[in-house]
Amino acid sequence: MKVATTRFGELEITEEQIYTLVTPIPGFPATKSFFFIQKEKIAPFQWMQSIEESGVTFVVVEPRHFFHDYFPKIGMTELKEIGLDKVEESLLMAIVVLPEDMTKMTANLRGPLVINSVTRAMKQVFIENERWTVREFIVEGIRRKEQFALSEKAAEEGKP
Amino acid sequence: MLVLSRKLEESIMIGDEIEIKVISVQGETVKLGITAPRSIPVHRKEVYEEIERENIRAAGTGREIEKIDLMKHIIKGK
Repeated sequence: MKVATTRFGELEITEEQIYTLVTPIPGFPATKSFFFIQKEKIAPFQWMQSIEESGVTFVVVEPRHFFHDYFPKIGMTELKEIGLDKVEESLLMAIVVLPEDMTKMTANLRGPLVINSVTRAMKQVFIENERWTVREFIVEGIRRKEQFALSEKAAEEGKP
Repeated sequence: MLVLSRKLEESIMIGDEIEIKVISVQGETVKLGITAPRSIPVHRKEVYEEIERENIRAAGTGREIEKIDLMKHIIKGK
């Protein structure tokens, strides 16, 4: 099928590429279907393009790529809604905001998208944990990840 | 909107399964205890609104993402 997009022009996609929200994400009540656009140039980021609204495009990323210790507690109810039993079976995506100053790029870790990659059902869930906010600096995540890797390495070398 | 007055330790029931109880009142803060089936997600309204704002904000950014060498920019910010 052909999809009109403001940003990329007309694109041809297949049914298998369509991901459906079980409930619309807050702020965008009129859009339920999206597809992902991956390009080497922007990896590990991807675009998430709305099918119903040609002008709605998000930049998303798998949060653990930058935040190694991101294991939010996701309710059973919400997992069930997308047809999953365990959080390990889900794919997480965080919506990214890219301001003018790219070093201030943030990921929304309070409202991740939880995805069933088999049925392609998804939902934006709310994490009721003060630790993760809607604006987590990606630079900060990278810094913590590097520190963690260094401390792991030090611990490894310290072993007899 | 239905408006009810409740005293400390008093509750309201919504249907048969949801109970909202006033646990404490201190100055401007009212602490509520909510008992509901696990199938009903309970969220503070501001969390919903915060996510809504951030979604709207996110949809308006990132237009030029492909023109920028992302990793270089991110690493420069360390």
